[in-house]
Amino acid sequence: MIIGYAVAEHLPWPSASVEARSGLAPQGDVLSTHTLEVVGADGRRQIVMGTSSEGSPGIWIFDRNGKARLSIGLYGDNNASVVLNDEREQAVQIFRTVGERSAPVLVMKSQGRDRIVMGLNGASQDPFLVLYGVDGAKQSVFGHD
Amino acid sequence: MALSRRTAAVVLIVAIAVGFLVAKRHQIFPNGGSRGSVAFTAAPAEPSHRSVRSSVRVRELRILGPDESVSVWLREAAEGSPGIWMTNARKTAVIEAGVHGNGFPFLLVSDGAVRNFGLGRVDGVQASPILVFRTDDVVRMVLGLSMTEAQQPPFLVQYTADGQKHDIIGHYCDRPDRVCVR
Repeated sequence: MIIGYAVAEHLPWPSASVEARSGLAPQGDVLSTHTLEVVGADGRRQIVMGTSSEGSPGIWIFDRNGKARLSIGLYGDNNASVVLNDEREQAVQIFRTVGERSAPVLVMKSQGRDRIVMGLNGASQDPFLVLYGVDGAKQSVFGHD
Repeated sequence: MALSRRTAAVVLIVAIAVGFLVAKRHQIFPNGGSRGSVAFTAAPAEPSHRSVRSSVRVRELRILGPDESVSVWLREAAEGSPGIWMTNARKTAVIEAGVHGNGFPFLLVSDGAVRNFGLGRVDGVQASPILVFRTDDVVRMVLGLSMTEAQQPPFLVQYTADGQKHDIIGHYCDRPDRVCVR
């Protein structure tokens, strides 16, 4: 029995566990780079994966005019975000987490102004839905931000 | 005597086998627990050594799963617009993000049959943000800013299972041509 145990200790066993599959890949299977660009047939950059000016990771997807229309990444405070932009690169829809408790928030904007804010309040984590008029007037549908 | 030697050999082999099984019991008989779900959300482990390139430019990037199938795909789509596509190992969920040919960005979360259960996109001439909840390819709820009114007032609309529309907040123009008469 001791011999079997000792042999087993030195014999690898093909494991089907998720951990094993998601573990360290062989060196040849890992490509490390500071910036990755996917370019179109015309050489124009389409997707960039890299580090933002805040030092946090991000993915940016560009339109035909070279404007970033969608970004996925982390803010400098480590909160996560997905941002959809208009043709002037102004954010119009933001899915993000906010604050130390990473409260989920959805923001929809028009002309640079918040018009719909929905999510969980950072302190109490209570849900809220707030609308803003074009003049900035605030209307709480339920809860508060 | 010969019988006892054979018996001794069998006992020895069984003992070795039992020792092997005891040592490998966790790999051979894994217990379920929550390990799977934790590993599912875990990022791949960092390599112990790496050589870092300052920049890499490609036309297409595929990240392969353990079975060599594509799990992440970054590329220019057929209409000449860029996109990211990713799926899980069992192909039961898909995330797509990118820019349509008309420049509108989108984010799509789907199940294996591509029946969207959440969609964020920018739509209409005013680039209005909308969030669409679908099930079985049928729209059931839409939240967003108006695509037809100049001041882009907010709207929230829901649809019953039989397709009846209920405006909860504001008004949503659900005609494909976005031409609505109120």
